[in-house]
Amino acid sequence: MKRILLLFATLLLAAEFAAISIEPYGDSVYDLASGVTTLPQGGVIHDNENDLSIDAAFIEYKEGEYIKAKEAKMDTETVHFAAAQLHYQPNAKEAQLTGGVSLDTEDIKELKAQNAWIFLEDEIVVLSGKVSAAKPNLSAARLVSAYQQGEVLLIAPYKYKDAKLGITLSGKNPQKPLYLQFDQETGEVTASSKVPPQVAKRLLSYLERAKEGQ
Amino acid sequence: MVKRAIIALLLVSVAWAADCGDYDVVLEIEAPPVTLAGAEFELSGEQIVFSGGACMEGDFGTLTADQISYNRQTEKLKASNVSGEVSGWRLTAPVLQGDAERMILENARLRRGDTELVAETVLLQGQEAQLAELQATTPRYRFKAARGQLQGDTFYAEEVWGTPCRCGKNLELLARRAEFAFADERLYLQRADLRAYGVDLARPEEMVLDLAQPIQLEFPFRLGYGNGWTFGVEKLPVMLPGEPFGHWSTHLTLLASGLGGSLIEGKTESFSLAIDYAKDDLTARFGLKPTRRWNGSSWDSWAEPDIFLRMAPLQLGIGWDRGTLTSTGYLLLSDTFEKGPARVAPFARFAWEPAHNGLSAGAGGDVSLPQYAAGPWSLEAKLPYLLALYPDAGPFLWGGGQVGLRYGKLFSLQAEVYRAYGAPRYSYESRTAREVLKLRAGKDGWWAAAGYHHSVRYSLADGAVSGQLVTYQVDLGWRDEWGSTSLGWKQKLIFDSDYDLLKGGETWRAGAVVEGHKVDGEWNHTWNSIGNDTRSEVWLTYLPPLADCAGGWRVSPSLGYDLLTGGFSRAGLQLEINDCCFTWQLGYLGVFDSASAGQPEGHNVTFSLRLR
Repeated sequence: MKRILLLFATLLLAAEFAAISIEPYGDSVYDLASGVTTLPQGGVIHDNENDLSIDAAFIEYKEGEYIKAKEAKMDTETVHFAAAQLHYQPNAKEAQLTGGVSLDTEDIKELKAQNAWIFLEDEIVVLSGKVSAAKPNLSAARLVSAYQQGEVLLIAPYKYKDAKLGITLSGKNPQKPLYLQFDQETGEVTASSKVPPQVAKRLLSYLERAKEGQ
Repeated sequence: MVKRAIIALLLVSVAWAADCGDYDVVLEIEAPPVTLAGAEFELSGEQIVFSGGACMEGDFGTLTADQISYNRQTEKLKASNVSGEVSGWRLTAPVLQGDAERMILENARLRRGDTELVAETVLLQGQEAQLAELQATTPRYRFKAARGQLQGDTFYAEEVWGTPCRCGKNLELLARRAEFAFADERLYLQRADLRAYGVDLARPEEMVLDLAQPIQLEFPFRLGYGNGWTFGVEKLPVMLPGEPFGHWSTHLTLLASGLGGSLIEGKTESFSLAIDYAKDDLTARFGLKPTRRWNGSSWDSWAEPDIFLRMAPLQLGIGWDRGTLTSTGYLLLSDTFEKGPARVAPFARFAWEPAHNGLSAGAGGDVSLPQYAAGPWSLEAKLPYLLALYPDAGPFLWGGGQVGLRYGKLFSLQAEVYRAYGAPRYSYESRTAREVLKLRAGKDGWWAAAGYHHSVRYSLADGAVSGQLVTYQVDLGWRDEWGSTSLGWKQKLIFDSDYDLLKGGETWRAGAVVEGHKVDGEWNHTWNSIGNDTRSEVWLTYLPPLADCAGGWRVSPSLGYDLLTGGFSRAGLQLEINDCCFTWQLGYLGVFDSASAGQPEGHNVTFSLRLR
């Protein structure tokens, strides 16, 4: 779980313009009045620092202010990533992925969500809308993660299935999220339906922000 | 994984019936399919805890608990304040402990209807539950058993001790094995031992008891004195081989009455001899009662037959008419059919009665109208009827209606009107034309009732009106923290066919119960057709409270005073002793003035013994 979120974060952390270069596939239209560059045939966004590349069918950006991309995807030997729309605002340190997001890595298979928000400064990721993954086998209405602390909050209805253990953990009361804590060193999980009030207050506020941003 | 498999194994062995899926957090285990759920879930290290209301569900149903915890390392499952349903029993237990092999409920209570089982341990195994060191309580019995096994509608117990006594064990039952069949509310005991005051009464191989009914221990011996001794046995069971104890088909009566005593006109001595048989659909009684009555100078003797046979739809009876001193008899063919609101009982009957001999046929029954209810009001009505046809006389038709109006528990009114056309010829179809009105109102602390009744009787001999009866009745009662008080008045007037008064009587009654002490006073007053008093007696009785359990006894005196002659008319004393099981009663009543007391003069001694 933690790794999925780190990957998202890395992808978008990398989008700081200093470390980013954008290569057009075709035309590159620069609007003098607005300072907006449009790549109607799309292009590649390079994260030079992490050596990652994202292809997009359409890119629009304004230096230092935002990058918008459509049909953004990354296909390497180990990572497959796709998002229908990507909107990155370096000043606000927020990135929004909408219209369907998917991620497939060695550790995470078929992670899908309608939308994703990444609050870069606070190191928080919010996934919403039919959140599901084949590995780990889970689904949730929404998910909030403070990925550096190894904290995850699953918002019901959620379901976690462990085929090897033959167990399924589920919840369907939206008022009762499941709070998971991953030990940074051992990887051991602590889980509870009793979310400490300060944790609830902190993490749930990002859900609200993500909702407002849509 | 082994640990998961163990928890699953533990849970599947529970036979419950409900659904854990509605809880906030649900943990499902696939093979075998078992679910743990709860309002709150916590996984910390090896410990899984469901709390705030938890649930376990196996293939057979659901068990709920305040909290369920499972330690993955020690492989122990523990639940607190467990409740659920096992084999149709409502189960509660403060603690459930489980491990890889077994699931045990401690100090469990199981309830089903009026029956409660308390067991030190309940071991759950599939659809069965094994109980150890248990006590059972049914409405009529208390049991203890070393072991028991619950299988659906049946509970098997071994090394059983039971008693119908409310406390103590003056009457006790021991059995090697018992089967409580709750579906038909029966208890089957094997190799039983019935003991009273520690002495063996019987050691039946098999015994059948009704769980909701008290044990059939009618005391068959009779002893009494009332101008002559009454003694013998009445309905003494004949223990035929193969019949379970307490469920005997055959009873014997050998009873002498009125033997000895002073020779006054009308004194009657008799000897009853009868065998009763009842099994399945056949009821029979064959009896004969040789009797003699002193007419003042000599004995009149006769033998009263007492024969009855019923094997639906056929019924036969041979009896005796005391008025004419002749035997009577009948042969009846009758059955009852119900269709919707209507009930029809057609009959054909041949009768030998003092008034007539002959055949009658017809049908009786009633039609119930649908009940009407609006808020607290409800109205119901019924139309009873009877039609009898005679080959040698005109038909007799009787019918009418009864209507009941009710306003919750506060008020009720019942009105009845019946009319007759033609004349009844035999006692079977004889009905009175009558009007009845009854009112009742009451709340928590008080109640009041009033009634009116007027009926017209017909002579079976000539079909004419033979007499009329009118009664009026008023009763009042109230209750407060001190006890209860009641007042009553009843007047009964008997008229001839022309509505001229033949005789009248009234009873005024006042009673009070204060802290268990019961005092009753009655003034019985009768008069003849010209209004002269024929009886005026005040009758007082006092009944002290009876201690609830062993050792309780009471003496209850009663005294009658004749206001017309100014002397005591009767006096009585009754001693009642309660042990835990039985109520022993010894009573004496001396009647000094039969006209005033309304019963024959003499000394009456009665003795009875009954199960409490």
